[in-house]
Amino acid sequence: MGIFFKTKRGRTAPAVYKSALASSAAILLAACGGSSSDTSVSAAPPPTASPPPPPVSSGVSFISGGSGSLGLILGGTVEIQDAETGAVLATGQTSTTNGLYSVTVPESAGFDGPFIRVIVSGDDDAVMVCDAPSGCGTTAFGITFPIDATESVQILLPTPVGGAVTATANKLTTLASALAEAAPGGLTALSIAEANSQVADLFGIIDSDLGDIANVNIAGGVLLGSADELRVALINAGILEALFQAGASDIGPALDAFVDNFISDGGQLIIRESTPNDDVVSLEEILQGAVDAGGLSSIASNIFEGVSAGLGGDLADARAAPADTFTEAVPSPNAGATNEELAKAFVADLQLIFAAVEEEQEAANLEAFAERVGDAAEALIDTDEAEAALEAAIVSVDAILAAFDQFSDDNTLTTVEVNGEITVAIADTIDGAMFTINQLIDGTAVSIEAIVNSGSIVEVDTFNNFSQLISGMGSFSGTIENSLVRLEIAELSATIDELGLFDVNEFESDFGVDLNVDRKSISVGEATLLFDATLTDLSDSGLILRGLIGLELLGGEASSGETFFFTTTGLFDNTGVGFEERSVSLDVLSVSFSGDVTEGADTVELSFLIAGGGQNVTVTDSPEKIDAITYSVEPGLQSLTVDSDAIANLSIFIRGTEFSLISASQAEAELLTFDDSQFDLIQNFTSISGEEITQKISSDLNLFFASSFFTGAPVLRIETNLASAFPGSTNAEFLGFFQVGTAGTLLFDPPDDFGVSGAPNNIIDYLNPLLQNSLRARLVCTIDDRLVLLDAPVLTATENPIQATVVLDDVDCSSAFGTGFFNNNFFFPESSVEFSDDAFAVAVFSASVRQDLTGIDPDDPTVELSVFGEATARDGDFDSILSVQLFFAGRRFETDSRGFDIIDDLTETPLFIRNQDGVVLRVSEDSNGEISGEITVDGVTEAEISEIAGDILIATFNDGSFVSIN
Amino acid sequence: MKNASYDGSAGIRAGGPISWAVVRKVLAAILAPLALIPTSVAQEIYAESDAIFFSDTLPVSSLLDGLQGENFTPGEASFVHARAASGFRWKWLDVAAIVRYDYVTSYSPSASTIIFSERNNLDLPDGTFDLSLDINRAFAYGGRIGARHSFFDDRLSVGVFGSVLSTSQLLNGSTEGSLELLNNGADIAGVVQVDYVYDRDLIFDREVDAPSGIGVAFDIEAALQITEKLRADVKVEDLWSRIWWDDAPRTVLDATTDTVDRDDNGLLIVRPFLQGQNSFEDVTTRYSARTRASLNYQITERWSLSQDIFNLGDTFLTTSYVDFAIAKDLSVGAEVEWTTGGYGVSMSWKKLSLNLVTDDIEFDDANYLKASLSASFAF
Repeated sequence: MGIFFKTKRGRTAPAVYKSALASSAAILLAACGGSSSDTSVSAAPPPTASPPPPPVSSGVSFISGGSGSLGLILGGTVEIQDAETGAVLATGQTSTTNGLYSVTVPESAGFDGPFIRVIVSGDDDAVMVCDAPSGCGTTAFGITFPIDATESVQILLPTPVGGAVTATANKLTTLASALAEAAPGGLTALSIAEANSQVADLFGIIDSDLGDIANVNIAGGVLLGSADELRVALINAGILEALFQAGASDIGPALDAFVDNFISDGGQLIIRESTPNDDVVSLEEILQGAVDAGGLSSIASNIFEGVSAGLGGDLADARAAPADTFTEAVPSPNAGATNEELAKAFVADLQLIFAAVEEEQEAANLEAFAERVGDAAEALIDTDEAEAALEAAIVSVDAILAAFDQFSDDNTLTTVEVNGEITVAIADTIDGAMFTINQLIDGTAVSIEAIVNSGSIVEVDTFNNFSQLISGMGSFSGTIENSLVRLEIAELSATIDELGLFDVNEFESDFGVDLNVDRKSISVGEATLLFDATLTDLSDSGLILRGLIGLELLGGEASSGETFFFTTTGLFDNTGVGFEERSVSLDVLSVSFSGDVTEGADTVELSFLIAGGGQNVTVTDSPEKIDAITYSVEPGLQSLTVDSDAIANLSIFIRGTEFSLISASQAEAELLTFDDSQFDLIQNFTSISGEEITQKISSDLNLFFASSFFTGAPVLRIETNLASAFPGSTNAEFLGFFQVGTAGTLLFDPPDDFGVSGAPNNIIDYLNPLLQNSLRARLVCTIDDRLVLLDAPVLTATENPIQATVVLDDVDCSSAFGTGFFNNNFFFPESSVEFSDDAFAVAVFSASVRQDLTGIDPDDPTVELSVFGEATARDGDFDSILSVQLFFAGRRFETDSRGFDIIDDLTETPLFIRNQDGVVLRVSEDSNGEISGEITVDGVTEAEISEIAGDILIATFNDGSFVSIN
Repeated sequence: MKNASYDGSAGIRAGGPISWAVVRKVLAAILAPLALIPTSVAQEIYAESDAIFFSDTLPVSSLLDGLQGENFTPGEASFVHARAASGFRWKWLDVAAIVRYDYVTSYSPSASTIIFSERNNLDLPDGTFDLSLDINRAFAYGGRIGARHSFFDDRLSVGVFGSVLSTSQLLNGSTEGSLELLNNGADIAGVVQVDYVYDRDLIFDREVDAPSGIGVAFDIEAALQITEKLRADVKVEDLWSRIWWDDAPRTVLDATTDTVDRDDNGLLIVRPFLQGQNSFEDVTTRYSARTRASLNYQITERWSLSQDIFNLGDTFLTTSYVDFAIAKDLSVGAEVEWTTGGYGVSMSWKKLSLNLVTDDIEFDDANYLKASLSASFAF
């Protein structure tokens, strides 16, 4: 015992080692003379050995359950076969509602073979859910369509001995089954395990037991699922999409061909094709389909967002991979081992990981590299040259857009001078119009060319800069270089279906009431931007950033605005209101990068993806105190009667293209002065008195209507011809801001022919049946010195034309906001984030670093470390997930934990680590600081986790052997 | 010092735990010849107890307080033996019920240094530390039977005692290894191996069933009246002993700081910092044998001098005595233990004897304590 050997000098071991070494001896001596009266007498768990696999007896009976997915197969035929002979042992049907099946193989079947095959196929009554994002032929995403017996998926697995077995079949298990049967040694338990593991490795699925991963119908709505389940489902959908994109008309033969290619390629896929080939389904195409399917799915969960982000990162990697190279998926090195062996291998791998990471940390290679890169980047960004290069790039893009706009009107142009500074050469090519710039721009040499494909549209409303519309495809390449920075753009391609901008700036009236509005909104359709570029720092740092930058947007809209009302006359001193708001609704927005960073002699390959999404979230910033004047509303009145000075001002903001406005029965009024310099088509309203005034404003712009100093008994009607106002629109907005004065009553009087009897209770109820889902109204009213905002639901025009008389009658602001608003010193919240019932916001981050650690495995040295983080706000609750994945040499490890602080506080969030073999480590901390946990394989505990010497995690296996993990 | 050992208990497991029947047969075989020996000893009942605490490393109080304390000297041994017996003697026969507690540990001085420093959060100096340590602990109660006989006109007296014990509070094992500290403890290299059986898991704090055992121990004693005034006594306690434990928790552990290495191909080799095996086994342990030899010289009718030597492992304690008989049934004495500097007094009155020795009157500073008390009643 105890031959001492010296370790490497200079190696700084954790202090805990010293403590633990000393403790190991000290604990024995410390027991001197001590009583053992406090010795616990509870029985320790008896050692148990993993039972050997029982022999398959004659006539086994078991229940097989699961589902089949091509998309999800509903009402399909389930057939359980002897995998060796093909003899049918039992049959059944998948559910017509959820696709699940349960089939019993009775003992009377006399089956004693080692393997079974479960086939789920179509039949005369079967349908499958189309989960290909572009649809399945004529069937759209999420819709079912019939499939016949030629369309099937299958799974191979060892014969279960009694009980039940989960046998999920899908396109991945079909690939694995074919791979197992093609193994050199034929069909064995090991070949099945290795094939499943290799397919899982190929698609980044952590658990190799594919048959135990339930099918999730991603087109089905709100189903939840584990990360593996969702990833499998999206990959399945991606394969289906890729098959259809390759021209498949019949799924069965297309899948068969795909499987055949997969087998002939040794269980690998081409990562990315240099030239699209319908006979080849590449990993890039599958991942693209999976990402697109994720964007269409209405599944809402943190895990789903994480899986989607992970797939987006994988797609970025695939796009950046060398063309026509194959994947290098490998099976788990532990495939076929017993559960106890799997658990011990898991711990050994963890030790290897910790040691490798510790060595890397000690060497400080990556950390020092990151610091150098950070310093160089920071220095670069701070230079005038970098700013000049960026400015030159932006100016060049603007010039090309402007040139395109002119070229669209006059396609005989060959050059365009933009702002008298930049010359854009134009040439017609087969692909479309090519725009070239070759000149110095503020000391930066710009040499770029852009091709805008035929059929693309760029509309820029330079007249009032209210909107832009861009659609189509294009490409961009060239070099931008000055004395410090060189940006080489190998390719920039963009696909933007629709981009609409809406921009309203300031309006100031000149009659005593200022209405300041600055409102912007953007509406974007599906957009993709790929930017393959190399950025070189020409200084001594030698910093080079090369890679593919991607921007993905599946659609959304964003708006921000601020509105202020001020009275500037002495009559209503200090009356004003102001607020700012921003709202965002995005399906998916992601920015990704995949490439490498070089600094000096070191290069690190990395990729990252940042994505965000959300809907119905309103952010309110910097509100100002409201000091509005009280008004009162008398229900049931059909006319408005106010004192001459009763109403301070009334402002209406309507956005649309055409509408009519009627203001009537005013004894005296001054209102509606519009500044032509701001809005060209605004008409002026002046000196309205005594009689009903009917004014019709025709405009394709936005109108601000402001009135003040109602001195009579005004009745205001708004009559809107929505058919002309919002032709074909489904998202037009109507916004009204009403601020009324003291002791007045404000009503809108419906015309007699409108068919409304009695007084509507409020304007919203009145508008709802008429303007559903097309108009959005915001009312500002006051009660007892407090101004209240009412958000109307989205309204849509249902009649054509519609004459809607807006009646404001008994607007019950108090009931909408509660009694708490009846406070004389009411302020808006200083800052708030408001969520409607179905609102959510999510931000995800995914980053991968690949580095060779030759010490781990010389033959397969690359270690990929991926970090995924996500923060989600839903229903007013914040949640977060941090997940780390590490892949190397057939191993796939994943940690995940919920909450914001997973390292320092395991009481809140247990830490889970799982690997490709289905081994799961759980570690948690109780309120006394005691660390505990277990290692399970397939849900069965194989080791207990404890902590000694304050910092050393020990795994004690069922056979009594123990080992430190860290 | 080999206080206790077990050899992996493989042999014991093969034979199974010893049964009472076996013990009874052994005792019967030993005692049967003695029944034939005549005796001149009167019959009496008696009660006696003795205890000895010794450590060359730290005070007994620290030993009892989880090694916490301030007085520390790098040493090699600490032990506690405490025993109480009550029974009767009749002719040659001595039968008693006994209870005993034994704790013996030996270690390298550097091991004692590193352990004491760790327990008291003290900084360790740079250097190499031998982590060798042996430990043996048990509590027992049971019965003891013995016989004495005199030879050569009572000039030689021989006694043999055998105990059958029910045992608990198992702690027995060893550590070996070495630790090297450099750069003020910032750099560390070392390895330690631990193999021990126990009733309480001191490393993993597992909840275990405290094991129990059955033990057998034999003592011998002899006294020789060399001349009229000179007498020699020899006593060996636990000359032969065995304790058989059932299902004793056992931990074999290796720890090393040299966890990462590379093979010739550059492949990373990772040894866990700590690994081993927990098990439940039938094991056999032994008591540490203790020997005491003394020489007594009767100077006058009232004065006598004695010199004895006590040995346990590598520890030797040498004590000089002087006794003065005040009256026929009353005597007093004083003694000095030269190794520890301990001093003490004794008194004997009729059948009552008392002895108390320490190296420091302050208990918290005492490294050596010895006490005995006995009483008997003849009838």
